[in-house]
Amino acid sequence: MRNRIIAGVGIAALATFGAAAPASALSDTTADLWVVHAFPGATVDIVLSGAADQTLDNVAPETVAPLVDVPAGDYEVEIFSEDGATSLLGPIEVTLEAGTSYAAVAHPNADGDLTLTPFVNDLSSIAAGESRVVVRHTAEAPAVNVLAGGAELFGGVTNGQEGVVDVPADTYEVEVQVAENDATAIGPVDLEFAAGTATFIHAYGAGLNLPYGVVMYEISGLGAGPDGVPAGSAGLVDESANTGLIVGGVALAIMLALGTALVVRRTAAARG
Amino acid sequence: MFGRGVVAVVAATALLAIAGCSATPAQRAEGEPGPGIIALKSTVEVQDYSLTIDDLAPVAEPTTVVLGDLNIDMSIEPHGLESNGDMSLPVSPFVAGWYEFGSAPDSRRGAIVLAAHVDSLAEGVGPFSRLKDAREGMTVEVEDDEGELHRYVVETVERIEKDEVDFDAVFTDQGETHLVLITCGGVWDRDRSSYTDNYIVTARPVT
Repeated sequence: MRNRIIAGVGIAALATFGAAAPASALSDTTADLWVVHAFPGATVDIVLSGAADQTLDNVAPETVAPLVDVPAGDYEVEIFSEDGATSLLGPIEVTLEAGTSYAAVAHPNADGDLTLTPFVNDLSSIAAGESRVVVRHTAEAPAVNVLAGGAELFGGVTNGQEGVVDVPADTYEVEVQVAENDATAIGPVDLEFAAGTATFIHAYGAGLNLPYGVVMYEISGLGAGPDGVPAGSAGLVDESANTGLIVGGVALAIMLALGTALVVRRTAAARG
Repeated sequence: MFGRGVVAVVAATALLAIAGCSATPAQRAEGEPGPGIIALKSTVEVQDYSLTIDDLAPVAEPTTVVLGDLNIDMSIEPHGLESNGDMSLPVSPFVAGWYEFGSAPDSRRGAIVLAAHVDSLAEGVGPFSRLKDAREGMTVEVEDDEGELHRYVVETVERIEKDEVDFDAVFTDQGETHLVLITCGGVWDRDRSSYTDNYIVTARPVT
């Protein structure tokens, strides 16, 4: 037997341990759409119509609502006031392609007006030991620089743009500065970026009352584990005695004997 | 902690709304089917999956692991990857390595992996050699560098041929936070200077 369960039910059962985060539920016919409310001040209703109809009621600012596994296709997105009476934005046409994870972020543009920016969530696989950092400029502010551990992660990011980079998984002191005068816009704050996880960070604020905050979500399960755990180096606890390896041992002895015979014969031939 | 649970977001209430009779505001009804035509519309309950700064605060690192029933009491060092992609381990079999790219006791999910050499020529047989005698229900205690004690109870003990181990599953960052203890065992392959199997002990947090 190659896998012996000595106690319990085995590692296979661990997949059911708890409930996984909604990393993605992508398929050939569906897409994911993470709806992010990063417009300060107003609770809104967000209405999707098209390939499927869905209404998000009473979405408060700083809320992230993943619509997982929605039908791919063309949609119109419209944002209404909390009581549903007034259209605040849209309808905006968006196309969701199958097998793709999107974000639709409601946020102020550089002038402070409500806008909706679609992004694609980069869920490509992440190298072991690395973490993906995605920073989206979704606040009412001019171009910014994003610093991590004192080094510039992204420079000159303007409203509606994003920066994507994979970094060694670790804790970083993150700060966002206004590009033109280095004024602190967000942070500095220590953030731990976990291996195999993509962290999506949205700048949050309006009215130029710095510092601003952030609205974040993460999608994990994108990385690989190590290739192995080579946890023995001396052979002192060899368990071969229990496992039919005696047969192997005998075989080895026979081979050794044959080898010896062969060598003897060759030697004899050389002499002869 | 937030309940990042099942994705019930989409499976919300599906309402059979007859256009003209629904409470939908007039602005919204414009694009909907005419009177008498039944439209399927779902109202999604908003579940918030946003993270706060605190959620991404640095986690405390594990410093000691104790499995009293097996007389295991070891200090822990953080370890990452070897250049060949294997997990790196402390040289001494009397010290356990914590996979620093995985979860920590305070993490919101995933496997906290502690691994140690079963033996070494310099120091002999280490405490993790006794993991093969672990049984369901044994208690494992892990202390972190903030002095907090985390308690787990053994759920499974497995011996798996190394080539057969699904290391992505063992080192998963998904699911409820759980503890995984790993060492080597089985038959010593002299040619490869390696044991054939891994012992894998999985423990669930005691709440």
